[in-house]
Amino acid sequence: MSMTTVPPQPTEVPVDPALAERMDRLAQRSKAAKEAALNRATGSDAPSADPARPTRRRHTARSARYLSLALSLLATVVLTVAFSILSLPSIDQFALAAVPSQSVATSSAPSVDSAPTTVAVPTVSTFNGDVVRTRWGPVQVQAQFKNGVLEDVVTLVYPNDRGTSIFINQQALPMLRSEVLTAQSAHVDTISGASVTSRGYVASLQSAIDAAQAAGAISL
Amino acid sequence: MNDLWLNLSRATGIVATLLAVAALVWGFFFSARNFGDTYQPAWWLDLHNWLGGIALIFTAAHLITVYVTPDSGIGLIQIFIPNTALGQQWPITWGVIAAYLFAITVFTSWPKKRFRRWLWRTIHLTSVLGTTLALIHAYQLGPDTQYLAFRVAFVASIAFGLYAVFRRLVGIALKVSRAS
Repeated sequence: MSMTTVPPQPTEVPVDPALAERMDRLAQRSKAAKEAALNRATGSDAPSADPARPTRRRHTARSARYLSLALSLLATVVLTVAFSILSLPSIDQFALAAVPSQSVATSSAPSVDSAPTTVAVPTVSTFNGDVVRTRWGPVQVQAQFKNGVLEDVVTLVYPNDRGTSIFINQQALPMLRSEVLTAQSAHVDTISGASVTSRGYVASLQSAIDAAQAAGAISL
Repeated sequence: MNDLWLNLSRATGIVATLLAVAALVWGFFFSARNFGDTYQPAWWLDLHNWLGGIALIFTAAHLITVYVTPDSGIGLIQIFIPNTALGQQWPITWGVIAAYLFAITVFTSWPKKRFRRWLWRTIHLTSVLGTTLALIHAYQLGPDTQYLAFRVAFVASIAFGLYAVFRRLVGIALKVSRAS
């Protein structure tokens, strides 16, 4: 005689009404979220199925974001225009901005550093150029004239605060010297790779030439 | 054109620094949670994230405009590798390091949950060092320090930054004292 086992029938467990209500609410929210996602995907503007639930804003500071971006862009434009219009220092002005207190003085100037050193031979004269501030450091040259001809240019000060600067300028400065001696003026091209220092060099040399002309030492 | 790019680089650099300071202040205000009821914490956090992001964008604009400025002496090597500039090497180095720190801070904020909390906080707090270095970079290298407006903005930035840090530290101290 065989016995068949009947599987136990699931009994109805009474559900807590509060829990049931919560489950219903969760189901409704889940359904609403799915609909909202579907609406976003399809581009539909249908309202959320759960109007009681406010839509969560992704960027709560949206207006402040726009304002900060606008202010930043405006500040950039205003500063750029101000730097340009108000003639605040630029690259050229950095290079060409001579320091007046250290400019070449005439022979009557008492300062030892700034006074031109007149060599014993009357036809040879030496003039220090202005100390020109560049963004890499000051540049100053000394021009030597013999019988009214630019005979030599000695670099007194140049950017040499690190090995690379020294390396670059030790190549560029002899090239500049050669160019200005050939041209017999300060109107020469800048040396690529050392263009800022070149501009300072040229500016300082030009001031030395101007001083020599003012002193009647040359007639370039 | 030389002057345009140079002036644009100066402007973007100043704006980027100010935005970095603002992001720092907003971040500390958010973390302190003691800024009153006018704005929700989410508002402060959202604006903090935004300010940090556009600070990085303006930093990138600063680097690009510096790079394209003729005769600036700044190339890709000088931009990406610290202490390789020909002149003013330390002020430029501070700027390079600050840019890296900004980038690290922003790019680690997006995958924040992938990091351990303490690690992310440590990385995120390096932005304080980055902002400090950016201010030093601006002061040492910028040719605008002689102008009153720049000095006022510089001092105000430091004051706001210190105020935010101080307020955060006071909040921590009060929390610790209440707990004990």
